[in-house]
Amino acid sequence: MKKLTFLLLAAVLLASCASIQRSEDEGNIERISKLINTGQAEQLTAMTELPFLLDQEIILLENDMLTFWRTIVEVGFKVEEPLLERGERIDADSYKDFYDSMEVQTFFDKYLEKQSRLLELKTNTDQRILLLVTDTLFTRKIHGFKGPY
Amino acid sequence: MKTITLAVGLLVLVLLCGFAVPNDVVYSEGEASVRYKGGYEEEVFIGDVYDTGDTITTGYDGFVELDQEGLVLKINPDTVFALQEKEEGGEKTGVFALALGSIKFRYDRLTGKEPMIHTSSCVAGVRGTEFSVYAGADGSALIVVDSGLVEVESEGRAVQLGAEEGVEVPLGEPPGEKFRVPAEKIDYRSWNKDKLSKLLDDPIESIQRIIERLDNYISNVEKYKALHAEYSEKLAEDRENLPQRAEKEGQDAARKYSQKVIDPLSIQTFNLFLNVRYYSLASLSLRRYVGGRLYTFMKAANITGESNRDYTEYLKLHERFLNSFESSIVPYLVDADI
Repeated sequence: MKKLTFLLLAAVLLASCASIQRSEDEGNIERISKLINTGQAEQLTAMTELPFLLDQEIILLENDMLTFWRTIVEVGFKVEEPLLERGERIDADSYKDFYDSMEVQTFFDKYLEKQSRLLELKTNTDQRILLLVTDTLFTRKIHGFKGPY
Repeated sequence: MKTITLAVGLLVLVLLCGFAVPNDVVYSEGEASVRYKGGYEEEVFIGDVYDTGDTITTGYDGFVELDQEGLVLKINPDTVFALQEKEEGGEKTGVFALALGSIKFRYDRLTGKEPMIHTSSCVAGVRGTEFSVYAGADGSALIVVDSGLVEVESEGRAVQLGAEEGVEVPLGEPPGEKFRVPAEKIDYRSWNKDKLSKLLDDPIESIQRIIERLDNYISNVEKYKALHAEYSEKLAEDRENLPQRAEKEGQDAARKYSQKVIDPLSIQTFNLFLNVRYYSLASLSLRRYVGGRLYTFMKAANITGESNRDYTEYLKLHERFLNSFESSIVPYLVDADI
């Protein structure tokens, strides 16, 4: 009886951890999408961690990231009704979702943290975007962006 | 097994290289960071000493002054600059590689062994005492001499610049016409803004020029790789025959042969591989600071996905650029370069 109670408790705990994580992931895509949709290029730049991975390109200069976020806002890019399709902790093969190359693999190994997450979102036009995000207690960092594709 | 040997060899080479003369930081202000050859990065501090393989990046308000025994380098804002080495005429020579931004060089004295200055579009040989080099967003370079002489070479054509003379070198072209200009009147930011507009005005032509430059680097990588293989073979053969030589001609003769032939051959072989690395790193710099930046700006401008024939054509060419880089350059890079 004791064992069953323990197992049930463990199952409930695991399920709630997964649902907490999912809601954190959803919160992240919502916040980042909102910043893009409301034209907050400076705030996006402040959240951007360098080096940054854009598709298969590694960006090293802060000014280039500011230009990137500013330009996507200027051309009217919006992430409408983002839905979390996938949220997972990065693993040894996650780099392949961005681009299968030595550079991107090294970027994942070297610049991402143990708790960094790969988030895949779908927009209302069925386009997908990949984000690389790390949450700590007080900060949220964006390491990468791929798409829309 | 071959890949592991190459990777270990590359790592050893990366860690062993050392600039002929150390570069001391004598002044620093604003945002400035250094990426050491081992791959880790930190803020620039006065008193730091930098060596081959180290890269200094200054931000919008950053400025760094380096002192290299008789040479002062003033690294201006928005600059990416690396200390490198290559083999030239059988000897190891220092290279100042400017990927982006501007640097002023001031020599107190010339020794005839001054490092070369490399940008994406040209190589400058120092014969002068005070001059500035600017590297633009489109890979072009501008060299302005205050005093003394500087020789600028690109695409097989060399131009000698005297005091208050300047020359612009577009990516993949020989140096343009010389012009007279006092150095103080060059404003890097407005010059670079013009270069950035040029880069984006015709992205197809821009990426084609970048591909041509990459092809040029790749042909050099292949040339030096072949030479390195040839010299390595000769070196291995000579080393293998050394015991027989000692047996036939005596230990003294074998030792002399080793000192006169094998040791210099060993250095030459090492230096040839240094050139493989040099052109690989030049390609990486072209990828990051010219090709990669063009991709970033093009991607941002076209992210809404509206149909644009130029962008589609550009993406095809960029893919070609990536494939060449992956197949011909990546095998000579190590994790610390990324």
